[in-house]
Amino acid sequence: MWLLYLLSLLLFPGFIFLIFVALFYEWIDRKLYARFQNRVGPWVTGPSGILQPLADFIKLLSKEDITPEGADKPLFRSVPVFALAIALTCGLFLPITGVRGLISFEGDLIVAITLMTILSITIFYAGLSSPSRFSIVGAERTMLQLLSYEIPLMLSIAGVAVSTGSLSIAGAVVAQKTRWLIMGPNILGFVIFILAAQAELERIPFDIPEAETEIVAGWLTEFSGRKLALLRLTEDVELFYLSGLAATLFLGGPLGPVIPGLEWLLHPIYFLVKSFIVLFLLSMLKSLFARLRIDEAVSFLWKYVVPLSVLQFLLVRVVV
Amino acid sequence: MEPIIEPMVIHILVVAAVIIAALIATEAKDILRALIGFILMSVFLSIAFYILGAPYVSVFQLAIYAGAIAVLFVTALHTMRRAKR
Repeated sequence: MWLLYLLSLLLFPGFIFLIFVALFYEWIDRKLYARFQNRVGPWVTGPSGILQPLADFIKLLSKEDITPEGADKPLFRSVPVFALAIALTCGLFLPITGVRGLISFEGDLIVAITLMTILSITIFYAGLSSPSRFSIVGAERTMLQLLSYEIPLMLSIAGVAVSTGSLSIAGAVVAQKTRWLIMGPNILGFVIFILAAQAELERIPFDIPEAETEIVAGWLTEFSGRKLALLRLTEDVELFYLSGLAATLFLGGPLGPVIPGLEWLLHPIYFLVKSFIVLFLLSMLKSLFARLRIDEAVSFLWKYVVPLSVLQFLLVRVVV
Repeated sequence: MEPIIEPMVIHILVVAAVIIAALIATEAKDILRALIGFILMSVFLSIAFYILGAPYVSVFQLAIYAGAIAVLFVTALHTMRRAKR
């Protein structure tokens, strides 16, 4: 029993699966983004470049790992490990194989979102522990952005919690057995969740904390070698996690028409297909827009998205 | 299923971790380290609440203290550094 749990924690749907799916999602994201811009994207490594993210990861692992002289060394060294650990823990909440994820308890919906906030705080530490001014500016922008997108994110989740009458992810999945939440007033919540996820993932139009043309790579600037590899992997796992969470909360998660006896195969397939849809939306947003300035992003989120999320919460409250 | 470790032992370890993290939060010279201590303390405290059989208290402890209050502290830090410049 313990051995089985440990194996599922390590292999499927645990860490190994999460890491490889995350790398696969990075490939899909890059490919889609390239196709939207009339490029081919990754092409050389593997069929259609499918192994490119893995190759990049291995390359970074083998590169020289530099800790800058003026950095806060213990913090600088531990941040990538912590970030990846938090992101992988988040991934365990996703109900990939059935109604329940590997970690599932009453109230895990809130924990799953709070862990993302803690991940943002870790990123802030990553920036502040580096000596470079680009890193510090990037870290401060991360925090400013976090303050503006977190409230809409929480309120869209609160809408889900109110309409399913449960604070757990399993409860949200079970409540969507007959009707997905997106078919109803929660569609506004879905839009807000996608916007906030884009901001959380620091992708265009909210890629302000790592704006390449202004501040090199933002909080990532001073990281190299193994640390950079872990942080890149963290971003990929985060991408998988947020698209999976959106699919779980609004698109019914792993549930769908099932042939008896084949649940173990069909549930993960449904889950992955639904999260591909979300990933497609995220990639489309990324290619449609240009980067906002930090003041534009913050005022957009506070002036329009926060009132909109309050409105959707009220709407859900009235309808349900 | 027989648990591998006694629940009481886990509880004592978690409470010890809360105390150590709280000491870090109050005694650390560097504000950044103190904040890490505070976040760790909230996380361990929420685990302690969960062991004691109060899942909602534990979840909100995590959401509000490790999430919201920590962000508030970080924001304060961010404005303070700007003032220093």
